[in-house]
Amino acid sequence: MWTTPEEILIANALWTTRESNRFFALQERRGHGKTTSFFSRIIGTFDSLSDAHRTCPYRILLSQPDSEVSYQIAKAHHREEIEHHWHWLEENILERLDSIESPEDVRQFVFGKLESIAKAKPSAAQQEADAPVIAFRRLFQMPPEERLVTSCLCNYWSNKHTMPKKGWLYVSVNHFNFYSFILGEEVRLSIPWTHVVGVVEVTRFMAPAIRITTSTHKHVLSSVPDREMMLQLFYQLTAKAMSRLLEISDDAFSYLDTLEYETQLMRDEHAERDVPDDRLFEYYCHQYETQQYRELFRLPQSEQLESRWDCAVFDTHTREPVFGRLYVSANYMCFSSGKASGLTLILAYRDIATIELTDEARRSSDPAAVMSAICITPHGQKGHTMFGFMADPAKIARLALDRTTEAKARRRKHDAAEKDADVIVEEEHILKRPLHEEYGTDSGKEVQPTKQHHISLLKEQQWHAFLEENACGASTFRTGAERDLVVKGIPLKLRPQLWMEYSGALHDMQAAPGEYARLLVANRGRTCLAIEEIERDLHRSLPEHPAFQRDVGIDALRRVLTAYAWRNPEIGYCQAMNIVTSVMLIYTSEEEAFWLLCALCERLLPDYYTKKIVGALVDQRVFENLVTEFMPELGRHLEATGLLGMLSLPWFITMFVSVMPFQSAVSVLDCVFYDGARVLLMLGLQLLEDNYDELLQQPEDCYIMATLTQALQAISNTETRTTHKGDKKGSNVNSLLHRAYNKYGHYVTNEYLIKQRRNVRLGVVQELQNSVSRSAVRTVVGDSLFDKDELAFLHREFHDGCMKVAFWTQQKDRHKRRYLDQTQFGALLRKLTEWDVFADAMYTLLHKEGPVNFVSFTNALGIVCRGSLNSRLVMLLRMFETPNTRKFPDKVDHQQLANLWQHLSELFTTNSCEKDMRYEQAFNEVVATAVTLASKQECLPMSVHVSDGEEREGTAEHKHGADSARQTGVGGGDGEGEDKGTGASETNVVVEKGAPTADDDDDNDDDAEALSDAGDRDDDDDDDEEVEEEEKEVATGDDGEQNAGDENEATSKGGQVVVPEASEGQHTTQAEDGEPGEEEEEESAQKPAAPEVTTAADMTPTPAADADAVLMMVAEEVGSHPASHHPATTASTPASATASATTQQRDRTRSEASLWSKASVEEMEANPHTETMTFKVFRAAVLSQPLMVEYFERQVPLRERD
Amino acid sequence: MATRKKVLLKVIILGDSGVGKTSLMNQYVNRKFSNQYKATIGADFLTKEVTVDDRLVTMQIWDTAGQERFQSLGVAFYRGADCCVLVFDVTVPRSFESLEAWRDEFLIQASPRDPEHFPFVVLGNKVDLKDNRAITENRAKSWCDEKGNIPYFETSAKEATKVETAFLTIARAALQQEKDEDIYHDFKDAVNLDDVPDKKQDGCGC
Repeated sequence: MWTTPEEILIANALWTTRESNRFFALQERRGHGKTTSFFSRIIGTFDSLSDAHRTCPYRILLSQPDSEVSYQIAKAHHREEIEHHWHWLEENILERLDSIESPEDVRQFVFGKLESIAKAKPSAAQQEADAPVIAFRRLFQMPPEERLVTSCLCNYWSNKHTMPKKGWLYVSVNHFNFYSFILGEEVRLSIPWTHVVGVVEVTRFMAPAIRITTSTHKHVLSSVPDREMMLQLFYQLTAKAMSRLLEISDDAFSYLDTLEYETQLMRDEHAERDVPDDRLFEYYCHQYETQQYRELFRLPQSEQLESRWDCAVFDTHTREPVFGRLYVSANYMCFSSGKASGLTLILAYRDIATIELTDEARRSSDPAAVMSAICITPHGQKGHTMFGFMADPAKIARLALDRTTEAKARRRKHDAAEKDADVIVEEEHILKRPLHEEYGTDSGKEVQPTKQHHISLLKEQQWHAFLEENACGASTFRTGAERDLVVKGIPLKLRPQLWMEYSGALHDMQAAPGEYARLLVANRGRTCLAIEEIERDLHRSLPEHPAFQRDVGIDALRRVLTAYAWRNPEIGYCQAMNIVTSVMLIYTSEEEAFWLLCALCERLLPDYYTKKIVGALVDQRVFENLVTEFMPELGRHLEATGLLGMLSLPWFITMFVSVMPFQSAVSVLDCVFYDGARVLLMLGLQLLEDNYDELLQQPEDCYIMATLTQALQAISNTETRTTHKGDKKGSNVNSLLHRAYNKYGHYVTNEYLIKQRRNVRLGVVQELQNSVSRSAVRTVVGDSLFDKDELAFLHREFHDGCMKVAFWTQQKDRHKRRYLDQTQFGALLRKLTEWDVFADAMYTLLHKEGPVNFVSFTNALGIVCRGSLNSRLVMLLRMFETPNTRKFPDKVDHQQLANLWQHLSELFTTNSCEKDMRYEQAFNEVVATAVTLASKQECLPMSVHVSDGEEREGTAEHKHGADSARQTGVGGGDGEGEDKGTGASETNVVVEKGAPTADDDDDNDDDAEALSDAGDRDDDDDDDEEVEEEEKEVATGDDGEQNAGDENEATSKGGQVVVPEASEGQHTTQAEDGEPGEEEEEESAQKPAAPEVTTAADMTPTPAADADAVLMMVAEEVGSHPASHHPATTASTPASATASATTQQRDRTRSEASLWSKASVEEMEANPHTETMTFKVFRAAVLSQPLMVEYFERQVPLRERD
Repeated sequence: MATRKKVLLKVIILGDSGVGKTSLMNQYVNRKFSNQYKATIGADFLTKEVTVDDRLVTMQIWDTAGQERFQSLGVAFYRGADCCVLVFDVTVPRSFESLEAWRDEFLIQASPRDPEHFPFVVLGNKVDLKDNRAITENRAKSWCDEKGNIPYFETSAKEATKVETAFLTIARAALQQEKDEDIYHDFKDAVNLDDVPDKKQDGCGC
């Protein structure tokens, strides 16, 4: 880029001049490029550590003949860029400068020019700010879609390094990248977050560090500035990557779910896209804080944290200040005193009547001091809340007041919505009362012995007293003291209110009034998979309760579940939700049950009910770890039977409702709504502990299960009837909970759970991913040319490719995220094989059969790497099929052949592995042979005899044709050779020799030209040779000359080996080809519109085919036999052969549609003559060259770079 | 092989949600039908002692959750199964179409030693609902034939139609599988050599 001129004093220090003239010098920084001198390495090291390595290794200086000072006028990261500038200077400026005399004027002129250029370009300051981004893209070859979040200097330790490497950490949205260059040793890492299986804090030589684990490596980073924040960022990015993995890993059944919806991940991505690049880190930090805030106070998902202030709240009774932090967001003002005293307070603006700034006498050491406080009075309440000890009370008061006004305005809007909703509630007969009021809480007849009744009354009194005492305006103080009361069981009457309040469901409901009714009405009559599943389970939820034996309960349950399925299609409906909801309906109103379900699904039991029940699996794993920790012996015992996971799943996912009598389980619900999922873990531990001895004695898994089932069934509740008759010990649920809290409450805290979940979650998701991968491999293994291990490797690569599609394209359709796009397909082909010149053509070919999935990807790759000669040739030809090929199966399609030659010549001349000139030679022979064959096939009646000598000359000519075709690039084949230089048209000339019969009108002009060209062949030939050699010299410099030298040698050698055999082939064919060719023409006339080439040829083996067979046989004698190759291929994968035996059949049905499956490859092998005329010509030509046969037959190893 | 006194046969029941897996199991084990079952979460099991061809065996029948998302459970208990029962509802076409996926899923998760010959039994349940029938007997049978002559029964857990017969076949198939496993364990190498011949078809004639 051009820069604002910058003075440089010593122009040559650290820089080498590459080019120079009177005025300018192009310099390259030492330590970059290929130089390996020690000095260069030092500079390289220095650059990589300082910010300098982010600046550019190339620059252009304006030198001044009269002074030591030079001016830097341009710099660049890439040689091409700087050369571009250099040429521009040479072409546009240099001449003018020559006419200017004074150096001062030269400077002025150049600067003036630069200024005018700079005006048209973004400012230099902007470019400076982008420097890390540019370095990041340059170092890791990242596309612009990959966004850099932050970068910093830190130390890196890998598995093998005993010393840390200092270098730059680049954290981007989808990758974790590190670059270091120390004394010639380069470390360059770029790991997608989706590969990460663990992010933990560790210590490395006494210093805190972050360890990032993948399935194969451990990467440790130390001396990371702002480590806490960086760690949080890592957590966020890995969590995001895991959601992406989960989203992509739908499996066999997913086709059932056809509903289109926006996932949370897509919403997040959308929000993220709107964030400018330089604010991305800030955005992530804020997201983290907001999430913490919402979790702490259980606020709705939409609530965004605005600001935080340190302050104190005055206790209503004692008037003592409690210190903590005040949080302000759009709808709430919250206060938390932190862990110590555990006081929390949530104020909703809509409840606030007045906010006053008052002077409060300070009660601390200095009683005379007076301080400002904010006094908040709620609607219709006596009490008020007072905040003090804050930095800027006036500002906070102002803020709170503004928010309150806004909330009031919203509230008015909501009122209208609520009124509408009320109408719907009436119409839909939505239940406004809990079901227990009519049907009781028991499955049988409601019997409430007086003793129990007394207890519940007593409890109610206790609760009322407590609530009274802790009332704090509209809200209540939560001090942690109420926990004991909750554990004892919330009284029936208070349950709806307290469940709603504790779970945060109340906030959700108030934030979206009328939402439940709206969902019901908006989706009336709609259906989807979830709705069908719900319908099936309605009668299988709580069948023992009378309310669910009649419509009243069933209808309510249906409404709540379907409303939720529409609210959150990402979850839809998960079995267990029905059981939980039916219990909630007994104790709360219908709308409350809906919001409680929302709170459970989205907050209290995170990810429990998602498509992969990940949340439940994660908590299960945390639970297993806890069991091993607290009861190691039992842990080992249960682990041996492999049962614990399956046992605990219903405990967690139904909150014990499905395993205990629901009247008892409701006490568990009380605690879960109050305290979250940790209650489930503690209770599980306590249960195992209570049955410890008995469980240890049971050897068989089924008896362990039976023991626990019995114990759970016998759990009773103080309030309702006692245990079932005949049960041995039936413990009381409330005492069970009490003991669980006492024993494990201090250990299994919410913080503990969050931390453990984070650690475990990555592993769980990766395991799910692995099982998806295993299934995918199993599905294709029988029908693939690769074995199981190779397929596993390929699936990883394929999956990463899909991930990149998901990373970098804004794909709305979540199903499409599971396929490769053209870019990624090309990238993979380049990475894995040497046939990447065909990437685009192959992608287009595959895409005709549908999006490129794992099956079509491996099939295509199978042909590239393991395919037989025949299948490879078929595929090559198909890639360049022109639309009319299929209509005239028995004519050679010259267009198609021409396209093919161009690409093939690329393969044989530019591919680094195939620099060998012999291939180039052989390839040209093939082209020549094909041309001859093609012309014969079409012009056979004329029976042109081609002598040996001519043939050879022709060969030489085609070689040049092909070469120049390569240089002029693709596209020469479309019949417009004129514009594309003589070289390109030469290829066409030869190939289209027989084209007068072709039906393509456009071609006719060219054909005529071609024919005349062919007449002047000798002259053209010479010209071409000259032109071409010149071109070569310009393009490749020294190498080109060398090649040209070798070329002649190779040609003569190749000629000696090849020509006699080839020409023998020609003669034989010619001799026998004559008449059948005619017949074949006739036949093609008879069947001009045969829809399927292959079938037409299949059913009527023409004499022409026989003639061709002869041709091929001759050729096959020359080359090795193609069929001999195939058994070797299958034999090379014996493992897959046996393992696949079972799967083969079903897979056959699945991938039958695929043209490139193993089965169809075999088919091709069995009937090599069933392809089009073009194919026959192509094939015969290839077979005429042993070297080509060898090339197309050999196995290509998969490149496994890691 | 008849020397061992106690034989425990492990049978896994799979199929879409709501096809009647729990009901079939309870009808067979407890000879009771109830429409008061809750949807199965995770897995459940019952055991029953039966006499098969003069041998006393204990059948351990595992009932599973039908909803797809519970598949990610890791299904440790598929391992060591002796027979797999695939159930569909003759009134719900989708449940029939899912059989293939269930069979695959089982073979992948359980990875039996000889997947070609692992015994499956297919039950088309709810045949009492004649009016709503959507899958014909022929269609189900031809699918079973295609998959290697899987025995097929048309059952009704509600009316106890063919439940006993079906489970007897299941027990026999499981017993045969158990024997094969024994042979395999006893003469591991010997079997490995002639593993290929297709003769030892599980001869569970239905």
